[in-house]
Amino acid sequence: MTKSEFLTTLEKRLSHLPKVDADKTLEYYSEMIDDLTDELEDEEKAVESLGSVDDIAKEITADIPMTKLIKEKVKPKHKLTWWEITLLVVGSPLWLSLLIALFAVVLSLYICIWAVVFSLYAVVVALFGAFLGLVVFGIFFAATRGFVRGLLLFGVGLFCGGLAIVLTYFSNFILKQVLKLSRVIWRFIKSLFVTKEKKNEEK
Amino acid sequence: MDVQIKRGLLDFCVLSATRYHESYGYKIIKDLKPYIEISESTLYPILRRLEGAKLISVRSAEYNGRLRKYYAITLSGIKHLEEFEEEWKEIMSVYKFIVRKGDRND
Repeated sequence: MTKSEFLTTLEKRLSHLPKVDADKTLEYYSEMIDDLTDELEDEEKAVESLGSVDDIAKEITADIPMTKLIKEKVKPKHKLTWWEITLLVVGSPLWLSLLIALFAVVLSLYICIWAVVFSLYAVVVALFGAFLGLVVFGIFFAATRGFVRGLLLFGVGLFCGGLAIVLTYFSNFILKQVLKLSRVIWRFIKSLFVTKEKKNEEK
Repeated sequence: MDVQIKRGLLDFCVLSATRYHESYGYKIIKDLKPYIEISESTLYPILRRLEGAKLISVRSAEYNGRLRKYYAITLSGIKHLEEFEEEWKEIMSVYKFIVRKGDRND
């Protein structure tokens, strides 16, 4: 493989990268091949000593952070023509509001889930408060007003305490599930970009 | 050499190769060859990283009618290497403990 063949192949393999990064990489390898050629006095041998283009491209892609790859993905591949821009602007009342609505729905669903978790813990706190209050008041009532009714209050207090403990475990369980769900959703979103990346490489 | 240890050392090796005079990609590889094996594709991400962390600076200059990039260590790069020297002293004292000779009944 000659130097220019190597560089064109590498450029194709790096097409999913931001242009600055791809250009820098090509410059580096161009300079390296030139220096190797000076030493070995044979361009093809110099290119050969670098190893496979695919491995090189993979190594560089792995080194670029995920966020940069996504930004590159989102950028349009060609400049928008005037009628595309016109369509986007004219259609904006439609697609923009739909997009905002979709985002709002997803966000509110997410907030709802967390609200359930929050309210569970609020109940735990309330039950624990009732436990403390009723136990103390129950003892006081039993000693001063009437033993039986005081005992009843004391008992209800203990019941609240028990319920608080059980509910704490239940809330922790729900919290764990919600966290798991969030992770699954995030992984799913990430996988969307990764599969697109692979398709791009096959081109 | 263990892959993890090698990976950790390579950054410092490349940095050190620019310590006393500026250098370029191919020369760095040649300078390191007697001490540690480094391929062209390994060097590139390291140079990127070091440049990103502002431990080395880069300038392009003409050589034989083509452009070549020359790398030079920065002040924070020198500081980074000095920190490595200090850390290595600690590692050496651990090393002495690991390889010490003694009685089994010690």
